[in-house]
Amino acid sequence: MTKYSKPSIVKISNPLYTKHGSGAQSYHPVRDAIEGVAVDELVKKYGSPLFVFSERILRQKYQEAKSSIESVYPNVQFGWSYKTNYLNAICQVFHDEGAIAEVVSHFEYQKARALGIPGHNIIFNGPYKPEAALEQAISEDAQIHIDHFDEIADIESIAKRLNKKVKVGIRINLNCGIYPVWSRFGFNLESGQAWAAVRRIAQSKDIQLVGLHSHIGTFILDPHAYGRAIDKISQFMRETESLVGYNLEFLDLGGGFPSRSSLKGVYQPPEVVVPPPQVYAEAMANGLKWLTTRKNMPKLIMELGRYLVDEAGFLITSVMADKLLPDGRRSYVLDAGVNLLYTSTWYKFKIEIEKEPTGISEPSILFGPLCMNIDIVDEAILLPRLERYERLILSPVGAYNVTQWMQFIQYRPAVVMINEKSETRIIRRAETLDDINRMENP
Amino acid sequence: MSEINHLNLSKNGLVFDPRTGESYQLNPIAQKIIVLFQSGKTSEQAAKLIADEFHISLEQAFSDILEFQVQLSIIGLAS
Ligand SMILES: Cc1ncc(COP(=O)(O)O)c(C=O)c1O
Repeated sequence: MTKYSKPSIVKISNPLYTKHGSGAQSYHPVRDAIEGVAVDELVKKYGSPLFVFSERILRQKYQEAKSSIESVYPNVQFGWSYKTNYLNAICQVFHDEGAIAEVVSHFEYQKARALGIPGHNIIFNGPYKPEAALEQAISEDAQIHIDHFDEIADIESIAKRLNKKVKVGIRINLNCGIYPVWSRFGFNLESGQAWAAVRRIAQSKDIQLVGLHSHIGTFILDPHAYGRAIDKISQFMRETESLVGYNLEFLDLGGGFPSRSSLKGVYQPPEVVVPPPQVYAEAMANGLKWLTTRKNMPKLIMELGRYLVDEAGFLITSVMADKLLPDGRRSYVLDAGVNLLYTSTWYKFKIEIEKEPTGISEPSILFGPLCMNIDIVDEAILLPRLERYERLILSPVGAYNVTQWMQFIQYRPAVVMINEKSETRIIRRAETLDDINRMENP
Repeated sequence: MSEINHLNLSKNGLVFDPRTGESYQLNPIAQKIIVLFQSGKTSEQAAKLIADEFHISLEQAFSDILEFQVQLSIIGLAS
């Protein structure tokens, strides 16, 4: 006997069908477990929605990226980009793998210190470093990368006060064929601004320039952009070294390697367009060669963010309602929306369903739980008719979502980590009313 | 729902609308409901038959059929 499912009817000429082939019978990716733990068990234990991280994937990504870069340059140090995901448990995994901390605010600096990272293992980046933060960083020997001329002056005055000579790096921005050029951070190379900064620092009694930093952008799909950036920075490094009369200690190339995510507007799947880290390493190899012959080979720092953490993160969400829209589209209300998925503006997530689908697929739209018109998780997806309370698993969501999520209308949910023995633990509990009210005075 | 009498329902769940040339894919429940409508059943009667056959509540069957009727009218298959 046919099992009951809600009646559905779909026009065969619907553009979504034309795009995906007219297999009206559902094919949709199914996932009933994450790292061997049943989705059902996770939700029963920790609730829905729920962020889930895989420790195995975190470590695997780290080791893969590290060994790729090391295969072309032996002196490599990774700095974990805190803003990408600064949950303590996530940072701990990367520190345990050997990463130092890369922070861009006093808050992140303090978070790294609270995790036991000593100042000399913290890279301090960013366009705004308040005086108190700089003072702490200088007194604790953090590696500061200067963003602008005002910061040079700030550091000099603190250095005088503390009677210290401060070793610094400068951030430089350059055009290596990537659009947009992130020209707002650091000193611009092509206009001569970076050179002016070097000359300015070379004159300083309080500051010594020991390294160069550049972060060309994020989700860089062209590995050769790194090669081009290295060529330009190398030239600049030679000129700098001949001016100051000594060799620099480090070259920091930032992050930007893409995760296997679907950037909106890129129509091929990530498996096709996203190269693995080895390809980036090979594109970097040639430009780095001249440094490998040095007696004191400078340290090559990488600050990969999304590549390391994105694919380790999943979001389980439940269908809370099924609703027909006046234009005939099927819509669903989920218990997770843009409040938890900040990156949904730019990326289209992979959406897996917990149960093997039956019946025909319909063009559908997934709404979040907010009473806001903009709360759309996926505006055009072919889905079998979903049942109420059925769960969807969204990925990759590990990068930038659990830092940029909002406490807006809804509480933020729990975050769970699954370790390599498939044991689960809460690494951040769900918010409560008390958490929010505690900060207010009536 | 006599408006849908012109629809040609095939065994594999495809519906062809000779007035517009459009084809539609239906799942088995939707096919049954179309057949019931074409045989002159009201939505209340169809809900009772579906609820009995599939062991679901009358309320659920009735909601689903009412929404299905809305959908038929949105896509222009019934008024
Ligand atoms: C200075 C710096 N380093 C590293 C990162 C991490 O970038 P990604 O996640 O693209 O690897 C960023 C991100 O914006 C950054 O600004």
